[in-house]
Amino acid sequence: MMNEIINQKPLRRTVIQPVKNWFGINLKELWEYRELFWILALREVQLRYRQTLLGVIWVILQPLLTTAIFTVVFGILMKTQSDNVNYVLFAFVGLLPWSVFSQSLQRAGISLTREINLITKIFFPRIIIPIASAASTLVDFLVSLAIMAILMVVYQVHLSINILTLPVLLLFSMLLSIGVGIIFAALNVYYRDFTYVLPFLIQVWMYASPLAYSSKLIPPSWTWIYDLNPLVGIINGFRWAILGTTDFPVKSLIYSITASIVLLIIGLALFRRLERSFADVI
Amino acid sequence: MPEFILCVENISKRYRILPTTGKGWRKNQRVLVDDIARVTNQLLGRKYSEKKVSFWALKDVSFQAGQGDIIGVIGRNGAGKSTLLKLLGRVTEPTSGRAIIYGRVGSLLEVGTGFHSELTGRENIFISGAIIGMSTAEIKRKFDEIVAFSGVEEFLDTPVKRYSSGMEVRLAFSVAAHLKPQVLLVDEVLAVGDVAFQEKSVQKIKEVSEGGGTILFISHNMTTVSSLCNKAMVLDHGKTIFPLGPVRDAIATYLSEVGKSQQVQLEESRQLEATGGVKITGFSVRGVDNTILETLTSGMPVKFQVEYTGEQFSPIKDINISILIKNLRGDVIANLNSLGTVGPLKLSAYKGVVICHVAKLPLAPGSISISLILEQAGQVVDKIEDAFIGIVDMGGHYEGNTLKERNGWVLIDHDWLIK
Repeated sequence: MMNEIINQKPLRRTVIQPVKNWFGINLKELWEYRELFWILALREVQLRYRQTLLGVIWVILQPLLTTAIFTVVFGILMKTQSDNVNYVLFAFVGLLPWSVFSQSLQRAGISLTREINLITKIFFPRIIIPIASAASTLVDFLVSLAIMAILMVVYQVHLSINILTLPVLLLFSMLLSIGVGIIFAALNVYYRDFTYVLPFLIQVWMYASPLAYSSKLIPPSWTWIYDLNPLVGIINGFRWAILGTTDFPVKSLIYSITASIVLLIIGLALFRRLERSFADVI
Repeated sequence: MPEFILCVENISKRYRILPTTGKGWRKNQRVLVDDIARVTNQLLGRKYSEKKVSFWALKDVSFQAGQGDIIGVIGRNGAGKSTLLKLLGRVTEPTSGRAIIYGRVGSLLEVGTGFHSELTGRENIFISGAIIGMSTAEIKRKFDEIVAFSGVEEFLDTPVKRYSSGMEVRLAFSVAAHLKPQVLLVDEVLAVGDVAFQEKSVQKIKEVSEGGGTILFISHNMTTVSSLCNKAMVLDHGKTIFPLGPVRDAIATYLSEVGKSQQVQLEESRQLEATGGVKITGFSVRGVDNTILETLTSGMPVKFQVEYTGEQFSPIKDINISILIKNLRGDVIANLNSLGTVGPLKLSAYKGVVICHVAKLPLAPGSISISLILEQAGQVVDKIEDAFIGIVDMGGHYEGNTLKERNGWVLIDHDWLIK
């Protein structure tokens, strides 16, 4: 009885001491907490539509309504050029990466300040919170993808082999949103101002991305500055992969991927640095 | 197998003091300027003096605990007890020093539980388990036991936001204690539950200890500490004033240390929200000349002065004040009860003082604490633990013959006859 627990397996040894480095992500520890990651992501999904009347229907309604608004304003009223594709399809495909990006950025950015209860009481790798929040938007993405499939049947668009690149494109839009999201999440713990900055950033980012319009509208002399937005490559990549109408955006995609990785590394370092005092200042 | 489960070496924690002057934007501005100065200095590799804006909540605390140890951490409010538990629970990082822990740590820090209020009790059990590092399968195995112990069966599928604080703590304690932690950190939570649950919890803590677990236990209740813990340490202002050792000595150190600097803050010691129209606002122990006493003397006259404030200007009727004198183990050795001696009190104005006069204090030398209970029409409306903690000095209770050493708790007037 005495040593029942102790004898089962060697005990995990935890050393608690001040962390000085900027890049000490403990991958082994993260792996040990993988179940918590799933539970938190799942909880996020469960909680999202709790106490709503329509519940899960919102997941389907949201992208459809946005597409409808875009189609009326930009497609019908302004007759925006849409790379010679039906505007509904054009807008919906653009919204796929944008929704997953903007929603996970938004959720990750405010995730920590909603979890004061957990952060001040219990230890676990804090990075799990924003990443689980971001990952929870993948459910919405999958639903949107299903709607996309229906739209493609309706509009008789044929799939090409390009579609196989979709997971990679999705991965980098997620990494990008996580990179920026954890920066906001960490800063938000210290200064809640970032809660209010975030929606504006997302709004500006939306107009700066080829969502409602085609990036071909941008005058050539301005494209260099326009392409600084790492989402341009990703969104055009999605249109290439699904609709196959534009050329493969090699240059801007390489830039997008580099930018996502760099932002993610900056985000992780900053998070690591600020994480130490979360419980003290939150 | 390591010879210790928990080893703490010179662990320290420094907190920043937020500016107290200015408010709103001016205050935030100063914090911001401070932050920028600190970050720039760090980036430039310069040393930034934090002395002026910070204080040590915990300084150079060291101790070791082995399997099965139940360690009591005692000290006043702000002594650094909770900070110590937060550091060991890895909620916050130490400023310097280190600690080594073997095995899984379960923790119950302060009141409140780390539960998510929108989720049901059932969902929260799984989240809490996962946070401690258990697999879903493990939690499922323990699930029924956890629920049965907590006694919240009927509310399992109710969001935790509709739980009472007692229910929430019961469930949290139950989760933390059943997940077989090697180290269990318990901070004052037992004060919340009802007596039956407290007894169950104490039993559970003993079980965890018998199974080889190590427990760190914070409590203000010296009775619980002395009956439960096998070792104890005393902290004061972040420093160790009594290193880990025998519980009895630790408690004695604590009581004498606390006695030196009197004036326990009543608000901090208030055990439950004052519910009635009247509450205790002050308590002092005074001599015949009305001076405030920090130490009592056996056999001397003493006045216990209770200040009260009511909400209305009308007289407050049917009042009973109890002054409970406890020994260092927390046993009540005397209860000065107004209802029993003079009947129900009628307090005239909405604010005033009630004095309880003892002509000849019959207490043996030693440490005591005094708790207050205020009742109105049989209902407890205010309760203050440890309103006074101090020492009773030797005096001339037996007319000139001073006692050399403690013998019991009370002094009874008596005579000896030889026939």
